[in-house]
Amino acid sequence: MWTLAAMTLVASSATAADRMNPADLRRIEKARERLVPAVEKEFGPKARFVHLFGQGRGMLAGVVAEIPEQPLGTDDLPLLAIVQYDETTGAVSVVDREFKYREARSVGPHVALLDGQGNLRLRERGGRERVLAKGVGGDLFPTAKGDALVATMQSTSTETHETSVALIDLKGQVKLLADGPGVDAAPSISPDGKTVVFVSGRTSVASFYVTTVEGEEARQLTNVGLENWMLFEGIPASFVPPPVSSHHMEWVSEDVLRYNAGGGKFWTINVRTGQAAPDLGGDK
Amino acid sequence: MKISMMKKLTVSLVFALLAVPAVSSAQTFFRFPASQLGDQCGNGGCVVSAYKDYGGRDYACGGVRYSGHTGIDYALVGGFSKMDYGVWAMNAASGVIESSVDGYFDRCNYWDQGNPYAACGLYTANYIIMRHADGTKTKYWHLKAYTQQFARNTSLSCAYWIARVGSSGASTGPHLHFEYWVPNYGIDDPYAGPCGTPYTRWTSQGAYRGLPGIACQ
Repeated sequence: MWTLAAMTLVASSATAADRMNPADLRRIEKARERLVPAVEKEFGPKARFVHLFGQGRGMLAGVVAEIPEQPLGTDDLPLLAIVQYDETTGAVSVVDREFKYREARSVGPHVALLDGQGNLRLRERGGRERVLAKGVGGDLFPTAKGDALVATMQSTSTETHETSVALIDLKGQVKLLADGPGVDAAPSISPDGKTVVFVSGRTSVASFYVTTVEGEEARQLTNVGLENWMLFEGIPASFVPPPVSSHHMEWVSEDVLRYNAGGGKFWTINVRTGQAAPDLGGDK
Repeated sequence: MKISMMKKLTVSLVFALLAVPAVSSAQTFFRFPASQLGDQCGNGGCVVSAYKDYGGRDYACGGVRYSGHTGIDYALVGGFSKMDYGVWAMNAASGVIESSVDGYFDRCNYWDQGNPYAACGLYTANYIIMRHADGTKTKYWHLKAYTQQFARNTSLSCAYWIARVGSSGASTGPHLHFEYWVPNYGIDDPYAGPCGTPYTRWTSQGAYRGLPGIACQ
């Protein structure tokens, strides 16, 4: 009976790919066509790319040296080498072949590189590299102008404030934008450079919040009135899933952010109204 | 040779004696933080996939750790199938739910070669943090979405089913990351051993790579 129940559960949990927008599937397939052979050539047959950061000409990919044959569940995330993949031309080039990065993101013509110790460096187009900030947790997201980025910062205050959200300009100035109890993370900044959205678990359900680059008091956009225990009784129709990172966020207009809610299932959210919906694509 | 063996035996004996709960009624001791019923973590359903890291070694001077790991990872044998079946995380001692977050995607998989969108960021795990009578805290990370049973500030006696084990956040597969925190000190290790701390915080520590006992304090 237990076995039957387990099999039913497994069968009913459709894979993420089943629910993905066909355009996203094509994007992955196209990236794999170029990245898989390029990574093998540059890093050897055991290396694999496991992460994509951003979109377009400045898309970056994270590469691991090898994958365990029978991986057990842990939170041991190996450090990455970084390659650039130009989505428009398909060109792949190595940014850094050392396996020492947690994350990377193109910022205008430059590349921001976050190492395993929380040091954020900016590698300029000419190759010069300098430290932008320390104590950076991740979730790098650049401004449209390429003059700054928002990021999740490691805790510097009390034990109960696990992370915060900050704006980091290319001079290395760090401006705290949100630091509530628990985890404030996964920020993104609007194309006009004025609005910052991020995710917080202050209410016990991970929800979008909105603030400004001036760090105004954050306003809850989604899942208002929900608490963690309510979700067990059935997910309310009003529930909006939070993003799994800032890596794949993309602004589709001044007010609408597209984000990965998990496994490649993308949603859009209007950051003025909080209105959100899955973006699974139409028949096309 | 004999002296070396004697030294080893002495060290083993000392830590065998220390690896029992220190005698203090004020301190909180923990049971294994998940169900050990036959279809859960019992019968080899869960294994230790990583202990706390002590500069390249675990508490027993072994290598079941990874660089910078701050807690203990108990992995579900059977991976996502076992997660879908459902394995309950349990509060390791009586206490109050101080903090909790739910709603994040719970099938994060760092190794999915077909889908690089399956990897999740560092700060998107569902979790519960419990505060105990002596001020210590236990933290339960990577929980399965929509399975949390209690609201914040709920007081619980030991060993309730609090949520199911999952793979939310920075995760390579379904596991429970269990962490122990001490006021004015920070993250500590409940295991006692020659390369770790001298006193165990388990009611019954169990064998190396085995699971701790399920007796509540």
